[in-house]
Amino acid sequence: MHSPFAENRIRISDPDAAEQYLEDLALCLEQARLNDVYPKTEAMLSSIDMMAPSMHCNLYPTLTVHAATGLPTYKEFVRVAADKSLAEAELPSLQKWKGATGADIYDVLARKYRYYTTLLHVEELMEESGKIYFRKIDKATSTALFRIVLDRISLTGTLERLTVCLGQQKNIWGKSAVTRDDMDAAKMSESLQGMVYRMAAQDVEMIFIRLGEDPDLCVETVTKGTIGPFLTSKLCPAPAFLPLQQLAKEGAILNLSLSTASSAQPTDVFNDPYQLTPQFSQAARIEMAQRQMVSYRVMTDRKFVLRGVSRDALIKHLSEFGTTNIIYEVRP
Amino acid sequence: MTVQEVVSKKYSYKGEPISVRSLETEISSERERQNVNVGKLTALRAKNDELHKNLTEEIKKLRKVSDFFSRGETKGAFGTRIKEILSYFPGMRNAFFTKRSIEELLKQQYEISAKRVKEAADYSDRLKAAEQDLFLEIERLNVKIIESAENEQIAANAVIEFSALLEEKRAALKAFENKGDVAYRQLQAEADELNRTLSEHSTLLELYASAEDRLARLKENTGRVQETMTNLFTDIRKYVIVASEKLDDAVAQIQAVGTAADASIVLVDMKTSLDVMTRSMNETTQFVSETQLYLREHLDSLLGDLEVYDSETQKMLQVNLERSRNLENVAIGRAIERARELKGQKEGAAL
Repeated sequence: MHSPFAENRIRISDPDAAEQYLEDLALCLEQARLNDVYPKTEAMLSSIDMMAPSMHCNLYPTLTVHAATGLPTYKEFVRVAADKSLAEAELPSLQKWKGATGADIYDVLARKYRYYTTLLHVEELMEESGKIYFRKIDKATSTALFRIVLDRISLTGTLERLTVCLGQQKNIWGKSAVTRDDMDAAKMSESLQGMVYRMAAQDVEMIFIRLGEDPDLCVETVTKGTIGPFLTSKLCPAPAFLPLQQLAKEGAILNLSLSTASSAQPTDVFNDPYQLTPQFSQAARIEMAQRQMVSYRVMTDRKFVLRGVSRDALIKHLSEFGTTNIIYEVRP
Repeated sequence: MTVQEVVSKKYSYKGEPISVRSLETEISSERERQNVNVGKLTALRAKNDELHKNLTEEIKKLRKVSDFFSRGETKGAFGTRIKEILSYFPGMRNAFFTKRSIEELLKQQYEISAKRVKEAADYSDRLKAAEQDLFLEIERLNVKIIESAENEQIAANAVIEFSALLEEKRAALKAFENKGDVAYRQLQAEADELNRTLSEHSTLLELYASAEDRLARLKENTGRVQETMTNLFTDIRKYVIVASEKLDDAVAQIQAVGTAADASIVLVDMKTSLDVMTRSMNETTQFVSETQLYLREHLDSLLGDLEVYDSETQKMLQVNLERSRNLENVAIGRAIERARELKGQKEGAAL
């Protein structure tokens, strides 16, 4: 069956090209100085490192990259995670081929042994996960405060972390959106987990509003940190990124966007050149406030990491939008 | 240098010296190697059973969910069955349908399916390696068989030449008139030495013939184990390739369903996605199921044959041992006879 999405993937078959691409991506990520509103840098780097032909010892002939966002596809991340989950059980039976030579299959198994051994020592990989952390109890309002952290490998090809800070005012620790497990740790109900996952692909404003509809919940902040697109000359990015791609002709540009909807934010701040307006109009917000929904403000930002791309050219491009963005450069 | 020393130099055997004990040890060690190979096959059968169990479970889940969606039931008609259906998804036991994200569920199922196919691929690599081990084993046995055949030929030539020489000596001895002559004694000593050498080469002839035959039979059985491995590997490789392709399609389908997966309008797309995953798992399960049958049918009969062969080997070893003992007995008998003769001659001289 021919997949209509097959053309959205780029297959890199040349091992040197794959190494180069992954090295560029890893260097950009290292340089990005990401804080905890983005997926964990070490986990992303571990997954990306293990996709390199030199790390998996050429066991996989191709690397697939999402054509629109320039990041390794979901399938690649799953492949590394599946290998890690099998490594421990497979290694004892691979031991005898440790230094084997001769027949092709012995060589394959010797390489697999090396790859699994390396993989076994990798502590953390980029995988989808949803966690909730208890922050504190506000005695004045009898509110338990939590932080939900959801890491996703989005189907549009980006790597995302959604962080939601919220409070639960009623039925604290009862049968509500947030309960507690056997170890007294906070636990999301099926309903809350499903809701957060379903909404994760949406804008932070929408998430803020939808979560705020639950009478038990008091949403404080919704933040989304997104890795990607990673622009190189070979991609077919969304139209908005085409000018940026022109700049990446000789190198690569990693986009790191951040958007926050927060009740504590005093004013709207739009510093993302590709998202300069709020999701909802001011009138819509007033309407929501009148329906006794908590008001919020939005902040958007975007930073860039360049490799082999002119900083001045990017600044010139950004000046068209009137934004001032942080730009890091990977030094040669 | 005596005649037989000169002739003996012509017959140098290849490889390690052979004896009844060394042959017995060698065959026993080869037999152990073969047991190890059969053990590998048995272990692979166990792995096959495990894969089959897991894959059948997965296919059952995928098929039920897919069937459910294909009936186009609406959310209101889910009724009590929905809990059962959803319990097939990872972590979904007792959950209510609308509470979880379909995209998340599809991804979780994809991750499990991907891991299962990966396990099958690893298993196929092990089969391939086991097959390669057996090819090398056959190659090694062939070297030994050829060496034994060559040595058998050398021994046969030696026996023919030494028996001819012995005949000559015996004829010359008969021609002697004075049996107490020094020349006669020397000729007789040479004949005895020739007889001993002939006996040695005769023994070697039997040992090498036996080694060749028994190694050839071992090789034949190793070949059958190798053939089983080859068939298994060929099948699993075919299935793993197809299953991987189908899984690739599945991930593309999940992408296609995308974030809209939670809307009822895309149920048909989602069903397609599940169907593709089901086909992928089907391919792998089909293989494992077929190989399971194959292993059951062939491995048991193969093991049975090997047992028969084992007892035949034991019999052959026993016969050879008895023959060797008989040869020794004949030689010892001759020595005793000669010793008695000498004793009688000495006693006669003393009187």
